[in-house]
Amino acid sequence: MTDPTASYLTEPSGLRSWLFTLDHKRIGVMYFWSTLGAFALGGVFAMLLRLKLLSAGNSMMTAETYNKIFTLHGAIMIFLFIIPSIPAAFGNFVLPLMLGAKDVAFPKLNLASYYFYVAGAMIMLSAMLTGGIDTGWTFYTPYSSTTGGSVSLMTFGVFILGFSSMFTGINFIATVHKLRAPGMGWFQMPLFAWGIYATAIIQILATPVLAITLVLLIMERVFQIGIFDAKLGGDPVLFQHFFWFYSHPAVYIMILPGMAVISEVIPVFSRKTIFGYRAIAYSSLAIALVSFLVWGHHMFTSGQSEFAAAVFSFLTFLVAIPSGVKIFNWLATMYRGSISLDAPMIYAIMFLALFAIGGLTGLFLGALSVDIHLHDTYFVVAHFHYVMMGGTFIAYLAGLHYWWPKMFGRMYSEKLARVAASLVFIGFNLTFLSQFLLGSRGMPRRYYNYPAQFQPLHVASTIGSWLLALGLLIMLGYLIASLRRKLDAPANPWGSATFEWETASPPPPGNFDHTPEVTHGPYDYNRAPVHS
Amino acid sequence: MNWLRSILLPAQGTAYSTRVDDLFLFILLVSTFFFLLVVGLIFYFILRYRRRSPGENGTRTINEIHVPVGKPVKLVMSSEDVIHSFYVPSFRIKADVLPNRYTSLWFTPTREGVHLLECAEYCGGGHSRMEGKIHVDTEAKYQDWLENGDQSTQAMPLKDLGAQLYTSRGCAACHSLDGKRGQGPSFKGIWGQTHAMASGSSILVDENYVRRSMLQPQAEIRQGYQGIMPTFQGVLRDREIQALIEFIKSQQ
Repeated sequence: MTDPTASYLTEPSGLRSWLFTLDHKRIGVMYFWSTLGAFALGGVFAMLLRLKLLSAGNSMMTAETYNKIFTLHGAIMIFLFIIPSIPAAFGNFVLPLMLGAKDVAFPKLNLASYYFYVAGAMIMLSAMLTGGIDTGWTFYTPYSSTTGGSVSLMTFGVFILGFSSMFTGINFIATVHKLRAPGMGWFQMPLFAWGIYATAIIQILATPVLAITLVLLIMERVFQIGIFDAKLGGDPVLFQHFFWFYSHPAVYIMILPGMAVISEVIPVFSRKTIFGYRAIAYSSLAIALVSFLVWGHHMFTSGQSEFAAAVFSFLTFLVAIPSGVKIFNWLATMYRGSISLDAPMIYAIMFLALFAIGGLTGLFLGALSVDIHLHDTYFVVAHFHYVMMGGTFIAYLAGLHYWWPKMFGRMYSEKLARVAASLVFIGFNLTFLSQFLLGSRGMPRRYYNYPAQFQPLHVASTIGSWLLALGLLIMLGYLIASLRRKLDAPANPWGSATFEWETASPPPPGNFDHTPEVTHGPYDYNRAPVHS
Repeated sequence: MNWLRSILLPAQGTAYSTRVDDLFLFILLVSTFFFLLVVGLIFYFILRYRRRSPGENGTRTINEIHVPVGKPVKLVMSSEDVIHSFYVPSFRIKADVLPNRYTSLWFTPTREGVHLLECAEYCGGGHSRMEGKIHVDTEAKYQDWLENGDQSTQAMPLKDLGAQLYTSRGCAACHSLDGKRGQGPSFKGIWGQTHAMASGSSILVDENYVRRSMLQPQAEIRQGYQGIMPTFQGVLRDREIQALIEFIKSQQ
């Protein structure tokens, strides 16, 4: 390192230095742009779906094309965007900085994880181009073992992506255990680290189950070994059990990092120490634990025993407790704070409102008899979009606006950020509130065509999607524009108290010019040094 | 029915118990009927609406179930291909229909009229076309439907009804209309011919022969064909048999 004050973005320079970098910040930035690209692709698919649903009947595309597009929308958003977005992009960038470390525990494994991600994405992309796939992102058998298209290739891509996810998880667990700065005990860690830690545990415990399941599916398709297909002597519901044993915990792989971001943003912009630090930390672990015991609530109508359904229903209600603890802790943090409504905080507050709707509508779906009616309708679609998009994605935007100055050393236009945030909020609610109504009135999901009575609500939903897309395009515009400015971000623009703000924006390749020492808690704003 | 009563219920000690038992058996009868009807319909739906070639633009046919109002109905369901889900929003019920086992649900409709029936488990290209209707009728209307079938078909001319039954009852699978030999003889020009039978006799193809061939297909098999046709006894109503006869007559 020749110049300790040089930014990691330019030092060392050259394409090779990026492609073979072991710097967690560069890997985080590469993940950031890759996942953003995936989001754009998945978003385009979403817009096409909404456009088709403007009217009933055979318009714009065939049912087969529609089925392929909703499958790709789901698979891309889940496997290429939401799962890696916050942990792999922001986690990679911020976690070592927050802990006062120079890098993650295994930098080479970190780079390998990125290339597994790229390889998995490329395989998925080639599956899309060679025939596509129309199984839905859930790959339910026996449809998925009998339909045409590139199902084997697609699931192989997801299999590879699983390794990327596991490598990241292993890395973060080791980093949190071994690389905390001197004096930083478990309960002096920022809550973001706790959230990422809980996520990492689920990633390494649950992902192998998905990997095995997908390998079994490929074996069935290629070698006709009867595992899930009843015609070959298999059991199609077994697939659902295997799949949700991973994919329900995966829901928490998606939401826990979002909650982790919110736990950072809300205290900073309330200038108040986080309320109930231990409760938030433990509730992350509690969610991680309970997440393994609720997979059957995706299968209430599948013919599983009524006793099992009742147990799963009860356990599902348990998830509400740690989630409620978090919501009320965040609210209590704002209580009597000094709240400033900068863009990250606007998104954090938006998260609270939207995630509350997402969480509460989960109660409808956890209750047995009500779920029987609502299962596989638009109500479910709206529910998980409120959790995944209103929750995780909005938290992602909060983190994006919060750490953008640290990552790229530039401030963005606060005024445009507010315009974009308003459009995103209105558009999102118009899109998905109408879908709750569609669902409770009996509109099944994954329908290319629909009875005429549902059209007005579909039109409202599609108009909402346009507002939402407009808001996101404006955001992309002002973020790209900010990159053309000179480096103008101070080291600590928000007055935060965690370690990543004690180094320059953007940080030098080695992160800190001195070994950080713990002199105050992560949320002690009155004792934090202000660098501006 | 006394033997059934004695298996299922204890001895009758009062006059009242006879009335309770009658109701019990009636419900049992209705339940059994729907049990069979739905298994039949499910198989039928799946066979009829399965996508057979990728280019096919599936025609939308109305799938209907008739039930009497106020009576409990149990459906026992199974699928021939992938997983579907039987969903009636206004009944608030839903159950997946699986290929390797039976799943069941029951309901007691309280509101007369037509209710939307949808498939709620994604099942491929025709998923959003998989919708049908549940007709909840008064007891009288329901009995009328049991005896005479749909009102829409009652008004139909016999020949048209026959043409519809020719495809919907599956005749088309074995009996062509263009003279081509299938599993069974073609209908083209068959009316009024005299055929040699496997038993050695010869028979004129007339009303009686066609009727008997539908109800007791094994009674006389035409020479050179296998006796593989199933009986339509109890499946086709009298008017429907007449309709098919008229249809066959018209195939000259």
